[in-house]
Amino acid sequence: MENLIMSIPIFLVLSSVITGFSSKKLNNISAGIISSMLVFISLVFSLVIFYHSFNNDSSILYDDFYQWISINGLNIGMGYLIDKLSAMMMVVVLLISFVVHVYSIGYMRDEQDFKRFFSYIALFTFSMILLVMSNNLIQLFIGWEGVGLVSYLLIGFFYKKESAIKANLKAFLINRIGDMFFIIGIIMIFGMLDSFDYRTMFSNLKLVDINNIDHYYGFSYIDIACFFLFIGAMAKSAQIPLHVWLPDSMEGPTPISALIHAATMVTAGIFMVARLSPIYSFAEVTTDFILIIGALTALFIGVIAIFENDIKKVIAYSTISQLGYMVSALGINAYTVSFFHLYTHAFFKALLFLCAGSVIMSLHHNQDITKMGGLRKRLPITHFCFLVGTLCIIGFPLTSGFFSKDLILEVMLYENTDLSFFVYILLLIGAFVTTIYSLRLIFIVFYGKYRGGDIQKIEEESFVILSPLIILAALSLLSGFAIHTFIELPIFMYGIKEIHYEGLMPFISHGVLSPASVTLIAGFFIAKYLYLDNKKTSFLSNKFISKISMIIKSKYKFDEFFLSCSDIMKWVSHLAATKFDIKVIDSFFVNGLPRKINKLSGYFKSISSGYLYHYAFLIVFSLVVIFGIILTRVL
Amino acid sequence: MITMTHYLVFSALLFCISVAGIFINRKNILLLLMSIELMLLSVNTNFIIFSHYSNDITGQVFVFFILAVAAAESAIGLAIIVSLFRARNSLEINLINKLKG
Repeated sequence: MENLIMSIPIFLVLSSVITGFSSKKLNNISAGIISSMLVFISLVFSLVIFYHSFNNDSSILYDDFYQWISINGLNIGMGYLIDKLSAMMMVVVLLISFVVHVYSIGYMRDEQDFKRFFSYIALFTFSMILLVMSNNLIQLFIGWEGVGLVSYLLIGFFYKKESAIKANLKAFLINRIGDMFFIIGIIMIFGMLDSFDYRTMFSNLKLVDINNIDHYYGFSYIDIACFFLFIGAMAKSAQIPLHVWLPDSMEGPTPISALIHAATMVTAGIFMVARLSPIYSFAEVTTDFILIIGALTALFIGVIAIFENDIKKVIAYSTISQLGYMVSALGINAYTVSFFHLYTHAFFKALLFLCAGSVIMSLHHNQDITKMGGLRKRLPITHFCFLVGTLCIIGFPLTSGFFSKDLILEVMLYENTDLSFFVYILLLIGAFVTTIYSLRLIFIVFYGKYRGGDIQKIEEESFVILSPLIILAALSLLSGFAIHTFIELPIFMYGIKEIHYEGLMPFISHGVLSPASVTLIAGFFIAKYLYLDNKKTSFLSNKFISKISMIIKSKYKFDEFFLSCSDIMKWVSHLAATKFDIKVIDSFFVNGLPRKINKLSGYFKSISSGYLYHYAFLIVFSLVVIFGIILTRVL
Repeated sequence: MITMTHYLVFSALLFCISVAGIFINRKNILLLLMSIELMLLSVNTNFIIFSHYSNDITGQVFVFFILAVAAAESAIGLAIIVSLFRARNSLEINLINKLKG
């Protein structure tokens, strides 16, 4: 079993090196096939590991295979910790990665830098696996930075496009903000628990007297540490206000948007919080903060998607919104529920992105949905898969999204505090918004009349592109039925939140009758009325409504906020440069002191004139002075 | 009655004159040499006075040594002056400021 675990990252590195450093003799298609095969082998291994860890209830595979740093009792190793959480996550990552590899062979076939692309995604998968399987925070951080780096490289994959370069810089900078706080959080956790290793950390946590922790300004030490860690997760998982990079990251190739910016990397923040759940369950204030941030993100970013016209950006905003659902579930310590949504979301969001990629390819890289329409007849398979993805995301009964989203809502209602009820309302409205923007997208793209010229020229893509869609569509439809497994999924060594669950059939009947179904039906009719039947209502031209839509179209001015922040920084640094650096450092210290010394030495220099009689005078004068002093002393 | 104090004052005056000669003289280097000789003479005077009043002949013997050394010294000094004059065609002290650091 250990060999299997070890060989997964090795295969992935191998794949990255082969595709990245091979000579021109290895042609593009075979490089893609080799890379996909290596990922497929890793996937098979991870399925074996997954099967093993789900059949032995208490088994946790744990080992340090490499001692990296060892200073005075502090040991930082590289190792793995495979429990149900990480085994499940590994399967999800490798499955999506494999599907995207296959899809990319078709999607990227005309690109010059085909092999560079494959090298990057293999490196991404490797970093993600490193992050997921790690047994300590440092290795997690290395993986965390690794995925951030590859994300940067892939957003800027078309490096000749200026917007792509700006987008990847933006993503990188925003993630730096998060990472800075993440490091502070890691160090604070180390300060409290004296270890980076999960197992030691959690066993030390039992020894900490929870009632007697230091408090600073009303927040406990754990609260502050968890808060800083969560800011890292906010940047990675694109939560308000650090979400601004994710919509721009759509500059990258579409398979990347599916793999990195929808299914796997952005969920790293949720994974990290779930992994550290024993610590987070003590951070009461921070979990409330997480709850609010998640709910606000789920609703308000979802609303932006209604007004967006770029097909990929609509899906990007919906990703942020869905991440908000996961984060808010973390906020009530329902880690398994959050993870369940992560798992179902990975499939249907990757599906939606890959379908969008298929549409974009068929339309020769047109992403503007106002120029689409009526594609249903020309792209039947893509249409079917997109429909499946949409049904999942709006939570149509018996699809995977229905189970996971409904579970989050139910758990939120069951929590029974004022705050969680408020969040429940926000999430319910969020579900309504989700229905509207998802249906709007499919109605505008696939129904109605084609608005971009001759529809007869549009052809469906090859089987290489379509087969991943079909695989993902099947997974999206069926993955929800694993709900029972997830409810009992113990996160590491600690117990889970008690979830009231009576079985599949009662859950389904309960879910169908819940308020979420009302929002679904209402959303369907509104979307149908506005976008399918294309009716204009006087309601939308109302002054108040148009003002609100102006605010939403401006994306709540988060970009402007960050720009003005950087302007303030620029102003401060300009001030420091002119006032402090030039005035104080340069003209007082660096140039000023030598000038003073030079001036002083000028006085001394004039004494040694070179004239004999000056020297003689000085000698005699000083003799007189010295004798005078001696005489006054003696007498 | 001329006492020891008078002699000492005389020798001190002589010394001061020679020192002043070194300071104030800015024209000729020969005068400088002469001032130095005068300074030595004033010191010699001191020696003689003290040896006379303390009835010790050693001081007076010492004066001869000093005179001999002073003669040798001025011989060397004059030689230097001659070569200096040959080199620069002038004996003005103001021009001799090569000691400047």
